[in-house]
Amino acid sequence: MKEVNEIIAAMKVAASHAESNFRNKLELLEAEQYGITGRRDLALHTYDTAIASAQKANFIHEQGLACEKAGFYCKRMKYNEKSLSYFNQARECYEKWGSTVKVEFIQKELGKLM
Amino acid sequence: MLCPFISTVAKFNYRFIARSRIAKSALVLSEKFGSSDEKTEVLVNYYIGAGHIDSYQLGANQLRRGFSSGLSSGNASTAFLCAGQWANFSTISAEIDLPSLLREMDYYLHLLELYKSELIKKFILCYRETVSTLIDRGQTTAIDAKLSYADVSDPGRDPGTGNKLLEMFYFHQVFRNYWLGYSERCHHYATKFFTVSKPGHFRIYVIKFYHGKGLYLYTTCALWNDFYQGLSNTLLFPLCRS
Repeated sequence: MKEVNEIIAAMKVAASHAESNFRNKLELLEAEQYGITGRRDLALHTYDTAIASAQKANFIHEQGLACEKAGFYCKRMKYNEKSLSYFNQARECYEKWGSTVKVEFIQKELGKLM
Repeated sequence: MLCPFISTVAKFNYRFIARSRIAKSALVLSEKFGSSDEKTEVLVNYYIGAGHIDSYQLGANQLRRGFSSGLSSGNASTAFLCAGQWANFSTISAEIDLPSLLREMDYYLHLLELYKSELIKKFILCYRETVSTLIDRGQTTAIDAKLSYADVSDPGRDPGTGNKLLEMFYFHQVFRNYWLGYSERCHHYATKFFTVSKPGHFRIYVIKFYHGKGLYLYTTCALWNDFYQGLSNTLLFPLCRS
């Protein structure tokens, strides 16, 4: 975890210089951190802000990634409906990106949930 | 003459803020007074040195234009440097969808074949393999030409170029392995990347992000392994013995 904290600190520096390129990355790392340390509401909120920031920066792949991670988090927390919704968003993003590998991966997760 | 000089000064300045300011000034000056030949050179220096501050998509677009103007003004070597940098920005920012990106890369590879520009060809081949892997693990999109570890780790190579290629090789391994879900490999190559990368370049932050994301998976798996190991040592083995 110490290593992850150092990476988050470095990402804060990067985001302060290049907001549009690194804000969503920082938020996604923070969301994962909150999730692991049990701060559920904060984690869910930060996943949403990471998704919004990625969308604002036009990073369709990282928007998909944030949705995917939020989906997995909700699945662990047994929020199945939310999880489905996030995975569906992730699939849409990966389809737009053109990554069959990721679309198939998400499709499998969706299959497990349905 | 002045603008390319200023932009070169910027490229080699490791103090990030100073570098971006100098590079931006060179870019503004070249827009006002430079020839198209000069502009291409300034553009490539700007985006290599400080391009990570601006939006990646904007950078990819500018570099695409830089490539065209460089090639039309007869400055092919700088034009191809623009193409190399374009591949980087376009891949990491998902500026266009992956199949379109692959088609554009194939076009550049075709030109690089004609102009016999071996170094940039290696760069673009590496990006091409990453894109092809992300599309379908290369099942229908891969080509025979690939960049292997042996190509980039030749000890007889010029140290500057060799390190650059090796750094790029590790960069792609981190990127690919993260997206394919191989967190241990991602961690392994990120560690290797940090040993060869130069400080002050923003590419490091991109790798730090994927490394950090991979670490969550990696450490979570390791923690579960430790947990189950502990559980079996304390509970299951005594039960088995009795």
